[in-house]
Amino acid sequence: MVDLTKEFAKIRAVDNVSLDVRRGEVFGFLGPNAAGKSTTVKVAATLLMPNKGSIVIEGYDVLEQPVEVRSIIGLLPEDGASTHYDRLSAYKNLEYIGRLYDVPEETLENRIDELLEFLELSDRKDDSPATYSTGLKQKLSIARSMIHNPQVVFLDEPTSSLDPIMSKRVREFIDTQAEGGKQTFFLCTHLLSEVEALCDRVGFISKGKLVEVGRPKELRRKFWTVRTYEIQLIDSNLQKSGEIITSTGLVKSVKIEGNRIVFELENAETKNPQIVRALIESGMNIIELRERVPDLDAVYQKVIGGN
Amino acid sequence: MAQTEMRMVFKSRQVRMIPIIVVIMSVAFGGIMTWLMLSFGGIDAALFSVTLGSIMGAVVIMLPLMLPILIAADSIVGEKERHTLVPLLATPLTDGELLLGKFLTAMIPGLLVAYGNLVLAVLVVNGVVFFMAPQFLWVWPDLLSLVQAIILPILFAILAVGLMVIISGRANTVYEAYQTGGILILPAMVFAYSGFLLGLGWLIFAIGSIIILFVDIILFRIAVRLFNRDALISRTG
Repeated sequence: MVDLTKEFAKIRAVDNVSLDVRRGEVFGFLGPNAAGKSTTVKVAATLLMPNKGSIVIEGYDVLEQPVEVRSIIGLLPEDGASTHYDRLSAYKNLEYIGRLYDVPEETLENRIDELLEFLELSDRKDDSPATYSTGLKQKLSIARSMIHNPQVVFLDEPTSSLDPIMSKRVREFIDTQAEGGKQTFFLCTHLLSEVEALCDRVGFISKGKLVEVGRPKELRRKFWTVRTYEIQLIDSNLQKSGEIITSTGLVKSVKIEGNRIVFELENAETKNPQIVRALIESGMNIIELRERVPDLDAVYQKVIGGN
Repeated sequence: MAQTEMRMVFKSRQVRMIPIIVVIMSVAFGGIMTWLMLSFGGIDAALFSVTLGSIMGAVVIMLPLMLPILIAADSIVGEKERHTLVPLLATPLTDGELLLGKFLTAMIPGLLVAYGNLVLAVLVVNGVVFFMAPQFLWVWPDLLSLVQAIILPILFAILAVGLMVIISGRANTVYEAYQTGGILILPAMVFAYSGFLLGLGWLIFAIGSIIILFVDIILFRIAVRLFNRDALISRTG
């Protein structure tokens, strides 16, 4: 994706976004409402024409070869649960879309059965989606987006209306499919836990601009220069230990939480050994020293909040 | 695509009712008109044929037109209304293939009803004549009426669907599209109806058909220009 720009009237929904998603990875695309996530996906799916820039998917240019692009991608739109033909059964919905994707007749039936089985819809396959709950409809949408075994799958809020068990199952499904580089997933979501669990890399978009891209771990490191550690001691005086840590002059703050001492510091790699040494020399018995890793939510707040 | 879409549109009660209404109306109308003319007539075979042809031609052509208008509204605007447009547009079909699918979905049932209706009306009218005035043998359709009944439904169906594609850009509900389509297509129907009533001959029919064909081509070109993914999605939001 190079310099992608998409405008509606005078509103610039996507603003010069350049992004490289690697084959076989699960890429998380994060941002607040109206940040430009869904518009980016729609341009990638050849549903919208960019005003500027281009996207190449598996060697096919979305502007020059839209039919080829559509044949190798799967799309779960943002309001996926409400996008079914209520006049057809769930099975017929999948069969219809499968045929439009040119899925060979001899494999289509098996593919539909496989997806319905995995997503636990087999016993409702002859019912109209109109009789489904929102969660069931969303599952059917996921099945539809995967019906032709696409090389690249765009999922816009895939688990937003699913219960925790089914969300986990869908995440496992995505993880399995992405394993070994079989499929590439481009995931738009608000659920940061989902990104943590699934995504190899994430991109933050705000007001149409791509703000940050990186591995979740790298981003945490980047935005958390002051790191938090907790230390657990055995048969030791927590109060005294806290005073020892403070007296080293290496930490920014120290506090006691339950049976642990929590402290914040910069350049942990060089300072932590000195703190540990000071405690041991004072006769303290250390069981564990562990970093408190900030979750992606905190990174998100920091990145998007700053924009 | 067109096959599945046709199956879907015929699940709409409104769409299913139209062929039934059309057939009942034109068959009943044809039978009653023939009976009235023969009972109170005193007309010769030629005038009988022309008069009946004018009236029946209009009924046979105009009534089935309701179907492509409603199907096109349901199939094109209905996709927007029911939010099924995005997954459809995400498939590898080209814009042209999608448009062709929509055209066939709307036109084929309309034409089948028009021609089926024609056959039934011919049987009823001539059946009544056979029993009431066997001396006439065959009163309707004459060659002109037959050609008109075959050609005009095609021209009007294209007109209706082309118009509906254009309307779909503005209308947000099937009902709104159907209403607008009906209002816009009414002048064309009156135009055709007048031609029949006046009993104008081959020349007027040829000129009228060429005009409708010309309008069809213009509408189709506008429809092709408007029926593209970017325009449809941008308007849908």
